[in-house]
Amino acid sequence: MTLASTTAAAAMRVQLGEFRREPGSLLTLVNAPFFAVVMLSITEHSGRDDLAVYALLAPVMMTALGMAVFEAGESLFRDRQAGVLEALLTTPGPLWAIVLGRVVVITAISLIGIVECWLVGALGFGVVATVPHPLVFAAALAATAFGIAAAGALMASVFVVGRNVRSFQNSLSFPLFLLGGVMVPAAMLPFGLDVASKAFFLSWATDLLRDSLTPGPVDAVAPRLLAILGLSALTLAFTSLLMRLLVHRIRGNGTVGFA
Amino acid sequence: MTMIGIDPPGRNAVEVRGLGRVFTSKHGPDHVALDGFDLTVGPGEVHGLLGPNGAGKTTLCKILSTVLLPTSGTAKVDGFDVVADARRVRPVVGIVFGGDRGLYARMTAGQNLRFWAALYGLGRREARRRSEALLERVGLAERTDSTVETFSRGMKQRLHLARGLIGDPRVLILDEPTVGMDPVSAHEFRDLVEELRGEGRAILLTTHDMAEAEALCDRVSFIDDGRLLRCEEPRVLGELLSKHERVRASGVADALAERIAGLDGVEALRRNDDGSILVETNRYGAALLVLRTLVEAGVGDVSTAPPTLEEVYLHLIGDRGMAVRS
Repeated sequence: MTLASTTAAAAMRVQLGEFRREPGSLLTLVNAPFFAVVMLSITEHSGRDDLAVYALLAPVMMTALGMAVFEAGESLFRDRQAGVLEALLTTPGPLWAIVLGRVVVITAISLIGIVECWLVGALGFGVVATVPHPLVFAAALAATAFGIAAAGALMASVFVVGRNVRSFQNSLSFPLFLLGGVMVPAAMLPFGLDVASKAFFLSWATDLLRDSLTPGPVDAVAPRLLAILGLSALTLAFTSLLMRLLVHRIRGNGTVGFA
Repeated sequence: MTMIGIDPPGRNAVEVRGLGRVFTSKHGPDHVALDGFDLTVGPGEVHGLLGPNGAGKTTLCKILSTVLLPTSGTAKVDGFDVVADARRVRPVVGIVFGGDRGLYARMTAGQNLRFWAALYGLGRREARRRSEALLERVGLAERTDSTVETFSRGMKQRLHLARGLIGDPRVLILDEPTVGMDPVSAHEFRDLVEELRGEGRAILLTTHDMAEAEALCDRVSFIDDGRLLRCEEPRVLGELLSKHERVRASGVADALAERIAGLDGVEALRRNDDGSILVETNRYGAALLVLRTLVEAGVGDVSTAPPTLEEVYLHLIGDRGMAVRS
């Protein structure tokens, strides 16, 4: 095993332990069914049963992305507050591997939202989600999870620099949901946002996931999967670079130990 | 016993030349934490860095452990530059920061150590084995499964020490490691440092406890305002401590105080607000003479104390100027 893999595996165990000890950090999962109720109520009362898939997928994506972006950042924020970040930087283990290990666990746990939302659909609204293209759905979901983990890691890297990024974190989620086509397909966005959304893995991911849940053929599966994976890998590479730059910056200005 | 040596033999464990660190601030003047600082720690040496709060000790430790960049000069650990070769420095250096931060409070001592072991590339089995051995060594074996938040400050310090050793470092930096420890734990800690020295590890120990520095170190560097004042053998520190011993007494009449002030070896006598007197000496045996005089005069409330760090500094600078020996 490499140093990066032992480091990431240890970080995964720490994150799992934190979820066990601090159930409050799973609060986003409590919100997911409520989001699902709102979405499904709108489609049902407007007579648009054809949009039920959209209503089921949106809260799942909101939960997963929201949890990754929030919890990954919070984990580094807490490490900084406890003086752990300073000690981490004295070890050979790479910080990016620590963040990635944590965010992989966060993303995996966040996917429980799928079960929650689909149960709400089935039990509360009689909407039973079928998966006409299970292989495409599974592949798209795996690629999406990779992208969500990359986005979470990117957010966490910003927390390396300090304490004043929380407001940024809080206000970032909604633009990401919008650009990612979570509630409204990205192609329908105005003001050129539809074009901008093409640079964001989530717009490709939500489109492909929706198609996999809709009867009828799914076009260009491989290129679309490659787009999700490629954009996610780019996000991860950028995260690694950004983290290195920001760590260098805090080593330079002497703020590593600031809580 | 495993011997941990600097490779190749003879290479200095720590070599600092003209090291400077300036902290800039938007809201105030710049702060010079280190100013052309020089230091050499030999292989297997226990080197004390003695200085008051704010002298620059922690800044130096942070630079040597790669969490802080210097603004001038160079610093090498085991021959590797802390800026250019930081990745090669980290596996060979262990740092124990003072205070009780830097641990996962809601994880157990064992979980904490196994996590830090993984960051040094240890597999799960070896991490467990080394964690157990270290917890035994620092006297926390029975608390392996207790969460850190239930630990006293002294216990956290011991866990910090175990964390610093988890990577089996050749160079160990201890930044005020006995702060918060009770006297028994501090004594056990000193025994542990002796053991680590016996294993061939080089140790840089920062402290403002002169007795600790005298007891543990092969050499002691005195730092103040980010500058190296002197580098001496601990014997010199011991001499200063005994030569400048102080005597405090209550219920001393003016005439007796005047007689004591005139004794050979009495440097100064002052009367405190509470009426007690404080006698400062500058010669071996003078404190004994003062004590005898007081007791013979029937004064019962008498105590002795070593000089404060500030007083030792004044004597160091005053006696021999600002000469630096490294």
